[in-house]
Amino acid sequence: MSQTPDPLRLSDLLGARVVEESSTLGTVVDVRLERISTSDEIVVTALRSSTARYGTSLGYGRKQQRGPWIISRLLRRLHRDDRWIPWTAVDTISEVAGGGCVVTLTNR
Amino acid sequence: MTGIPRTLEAKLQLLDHQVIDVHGEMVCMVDDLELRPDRRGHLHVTAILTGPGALGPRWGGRFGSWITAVWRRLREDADPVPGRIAWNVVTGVDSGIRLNCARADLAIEGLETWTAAHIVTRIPGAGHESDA
Repeated sequence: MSQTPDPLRLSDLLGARVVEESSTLGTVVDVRLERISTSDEIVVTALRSSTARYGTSLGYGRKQQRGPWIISRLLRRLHRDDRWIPWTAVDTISEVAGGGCVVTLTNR
Repeated sequence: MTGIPRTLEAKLQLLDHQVIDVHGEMVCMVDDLELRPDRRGHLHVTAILTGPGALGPRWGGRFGSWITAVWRRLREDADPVPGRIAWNVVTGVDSGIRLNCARADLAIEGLETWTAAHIVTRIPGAGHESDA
């Protein structure tokens, strides 16, 4: 990770375009945080990239979420291409004119 | 004592959730989170941000800009910053975010408190009948 605006807000990351080798994979719809072993500090460990804009806030991507099966099936289908991108795969987060950020992944 | 789970999904489990003080009273909502990189490139959650100064930029667009502009205009300080609760006072995350300190010890102003103090009280007749 070579470049990150400091400080950054969670809302700068949510909705940010995820770019890999000049092509857009999707936008960031959630951010995974992990607690550092013995302390209460938490760090970003992954970004959830999606091509679907809606439905993430309902939590149907989580295994333990229960609810009407038809909504569950619809939202799982809508988010079937979502992927969790590990933080180690992020190269830069750059701010763009007019607001928002672009997340660029490292070339593999 | 609930503690902080080992993993959290920020949007789903933190954003827009209630912040609750050590006495069980509501403090504010989580309107945004402050993230800071360390020297190794890890991005740490360093604070909860709250109030119109956090919500306006998050909403964006004309309405978000308007909220931020009104908030700036009504603040006395020249360069106001949003309400900020350092992450090191967070002791647990369940349906709410639990703190180890009292609401009175935090110099913060959530959207509801700010709206009541700066907008609602200025509306003629906003006071209680007994105040007249």
